[in-house]
Amino acid sequence: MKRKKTELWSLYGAGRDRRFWKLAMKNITVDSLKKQQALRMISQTAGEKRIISRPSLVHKIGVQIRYLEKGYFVFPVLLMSGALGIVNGMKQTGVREVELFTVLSAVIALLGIFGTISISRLFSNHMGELEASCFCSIGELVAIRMTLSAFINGVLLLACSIVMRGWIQMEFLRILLYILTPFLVSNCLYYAILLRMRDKNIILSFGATGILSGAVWSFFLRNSLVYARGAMAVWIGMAVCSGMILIGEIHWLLKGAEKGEMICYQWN
Amino acid sequence: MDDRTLIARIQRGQTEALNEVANKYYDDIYRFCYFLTGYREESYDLAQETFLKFIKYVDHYQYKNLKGYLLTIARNICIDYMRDKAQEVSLTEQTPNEVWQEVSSEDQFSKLVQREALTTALWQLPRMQREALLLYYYHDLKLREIAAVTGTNLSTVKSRIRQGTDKLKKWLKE
Repeated sequence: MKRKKTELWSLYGAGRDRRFWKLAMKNITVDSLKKQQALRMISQTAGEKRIISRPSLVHKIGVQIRYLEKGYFVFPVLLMSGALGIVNGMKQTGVREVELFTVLSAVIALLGIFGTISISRLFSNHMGELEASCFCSIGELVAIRMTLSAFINGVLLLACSIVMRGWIQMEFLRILLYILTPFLVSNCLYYAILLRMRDKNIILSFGATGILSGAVWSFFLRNSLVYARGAMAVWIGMAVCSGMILIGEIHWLLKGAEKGEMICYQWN
Repeated sequence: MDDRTLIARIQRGQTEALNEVANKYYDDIYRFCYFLTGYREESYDLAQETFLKFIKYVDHYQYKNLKGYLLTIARNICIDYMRDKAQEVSLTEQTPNEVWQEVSSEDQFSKLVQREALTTALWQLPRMQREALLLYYYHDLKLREIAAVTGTNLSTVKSRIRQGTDKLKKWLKE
């Protein structure tokens, strides 16, 4: 018996070999009669079951895309194309690289407006809760619209960075940082408005904030020292800080949207 | 038919696919319940209850790993059952021995001695380690999936598997 056990150990490596388990499981036989009885009961319950259809996430996103006005997709593309057109025109006249970024930053500060407007419209007419449906809670709607907006803006910012990389002599990540930071900072402001405003003037506030933020960016960024290699740490710090604030705001927004009483308090 | 197709059919309202799921996994779930509780007869009811609960909540189920999901339900049902019984399995008493009844040749006898040694060693393991080893080596679940099924973290699962295999190694060498 001892010899057999030693053989077993060497044969099955103390259970690490799956054959060990298959062999052990063969010891447990399933009584076919009892199994059939159980399966009959399961079949009876399955026959009485009424399946309630629940759409997949992809389907929910597809439906939301259909509901969104085309402007939410078209305007950001037009805005960024226009900005790149202006930048290209300026480049032809031989202006400094700093000037190109100044124009781009001012326009990018406006880019986040479209996404936040699409979310704010969910809560229009003091009736946020009416937007929720059997298949999508208000929190899910907010999340889907945010995802769509993040996708569109992400693609545009990336495309813009790639185009800029072709036009100027600078590392790609550095260009991305200069483009991403104004977007994150301005989005922090838009989400702060979205969380605080309770009246119909929210869209005007977005517009005013966007223009003001663009003007501030273009004023400060005119100084060429801002784009010096030594100032990179400040840029990274700004991007990280605004990114963290934005995550906090999004968390607060989603948390508030999931609680009905918060919707009434915050937006109605 | 693969699990994803079965679930898609169920969620389209074809409830006969529920029977196919039960047919496909009944034996595995029964054996899992038996290895977890040690009660042969009750495990038929526990396996049945697993599928009834699955049918109840199938509308909410989003396909990931069907077998893992069924094992999670089975585990919860078994643990509730054992808690109700307020007793752990008496391992030596519950070790199955009916396989000895059909021995007809020396070769068969040798195989049964092997099986018996393996099974006895398995039954001697603590429930948590037996469960982790069973899910990992027999049901082919990934470590993360085992952590999800058992409601623990990855390092606990690793440690249970390591301790379990160490014990088996020791017992099978003795």
